[in-house]
Amino acid sequence: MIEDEATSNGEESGDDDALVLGDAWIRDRGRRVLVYARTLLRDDSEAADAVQEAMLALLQHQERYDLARDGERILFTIVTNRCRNMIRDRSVRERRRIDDPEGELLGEIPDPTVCLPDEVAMGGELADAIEALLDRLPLQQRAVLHLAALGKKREEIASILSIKPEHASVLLYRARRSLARVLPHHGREVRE
Amino acid sequence: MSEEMRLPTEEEERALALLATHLEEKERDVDVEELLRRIQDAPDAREYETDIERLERKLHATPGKIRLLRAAVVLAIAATVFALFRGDPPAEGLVLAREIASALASSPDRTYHGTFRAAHGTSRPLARLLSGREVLLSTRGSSFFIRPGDVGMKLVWGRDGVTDTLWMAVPGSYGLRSAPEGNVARRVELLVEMRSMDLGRILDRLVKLCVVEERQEGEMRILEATPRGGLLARFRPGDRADFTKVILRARGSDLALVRVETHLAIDGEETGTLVWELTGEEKVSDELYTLEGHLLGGETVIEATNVAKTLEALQGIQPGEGK
Repeated sequence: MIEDEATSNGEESGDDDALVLGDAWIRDRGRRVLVYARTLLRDDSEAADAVQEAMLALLQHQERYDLARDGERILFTIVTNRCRNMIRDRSVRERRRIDDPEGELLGEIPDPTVCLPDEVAMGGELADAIEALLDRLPLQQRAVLHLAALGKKREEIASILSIKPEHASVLLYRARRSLARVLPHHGREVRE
Repeated sequence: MSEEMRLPTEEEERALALLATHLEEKERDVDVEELLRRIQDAPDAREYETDIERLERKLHATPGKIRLLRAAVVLAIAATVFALFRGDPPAEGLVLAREIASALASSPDRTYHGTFRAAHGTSRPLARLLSGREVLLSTRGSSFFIRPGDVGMKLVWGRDGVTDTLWMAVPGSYGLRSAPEGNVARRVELLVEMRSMDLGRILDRLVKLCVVEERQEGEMRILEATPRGGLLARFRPGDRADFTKVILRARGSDLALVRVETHLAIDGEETGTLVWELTGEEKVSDELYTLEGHLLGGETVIEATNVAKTLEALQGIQPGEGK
């Protein structure tokens, strides 16, 4: 479906099907971007929907782009926007639920249970501590933190999130500080 | 340099490295084959795979590329056979749905009479309350407006397709107009979608998200559509799974919709049936597709893009105050 980078670059490969359908491209980016969507949405099912829709959008408009050069950045941008829309839809639903307590218009919205990250970190579970922090961080800070952990530079993060690089720096500073605060014990273990 | 622009401390770097490791572990746990299946099963993806001309143009027909093209053809056929085997929509139904949508988009004025009937034994009080309610819908391309067909309702609302704005009016009291990108517009759009009053949108959704079957009864062409469960988030229970079935009757000569029957549902429970029947094709004044066409003069008109501000403004306005 998506033309693979190797095809775009004119390289040969024995795996013809994968080149035409771009399965390798989707597999590689799919993992990364799905976990990114989960970080943003905090919901596995919605994240899968967001990534599916983003991939399809990219497929439909792939001729506009140089996927070999920009594919990953564009994919992350589309996923970010899809996630933002989904979160916005949630808030609309939430308001409707308040207006419509009997749930006439929509189903029940689950009541999110938020753990304090410091409490979880005290329990010593690194993964839980990270996930609890991600639950609490504002959306944009979650996004910059995740993208920074993927090794993306400030300018690319800003481009994906459609914000100014300076704003990305500020968000990253705050998110990093929160992360370091939540994981001090784990950090020391690593150092030792 | 401000504090917020400084480089990360050692502790922050270590924490970020821990996060990176955590994310890598999560990536390893991803079922990427499931993602591939979802993409390949989506109707839009199948359309792309079967678009051989585009593939051919992209591959430039060198010997190696021809092999790829052949593989694509085989896969496209396989995907189609697979889709048919799975009971996905026959192509004819989708083609007809698209043709009806196209005819609707360029249609002259049409007026429909709409009636809502609550499902027998529904537990939904609002459905019972609205049962028997009648409305009139006028459409022209992407514009439409809905007005009460019986006594007791004052609200008129619609979309001005020229400016792509949604509006609503209680004549004599107030008017509300929302920019296309505004929160109010989005909220009203949802309502429009959920109550299946926008025929163009229904058709768009049928093409994308439903299993569509076609049959012919005399000159009438009938489309029956049911949502494909679970394909997209829109049809998860509690989200926007707002109908269980839609039956369209289109005139054979010009594909004008003459009857639309929508079986509305909430969380899979059918709440009632909304039926639109074509009652007229006379020209309607351009103005009636706009907010101004329904204002008597002196009403408070709110230009709104923000739900909270709009509700705040509306709370202070009682019917009749705007006069």
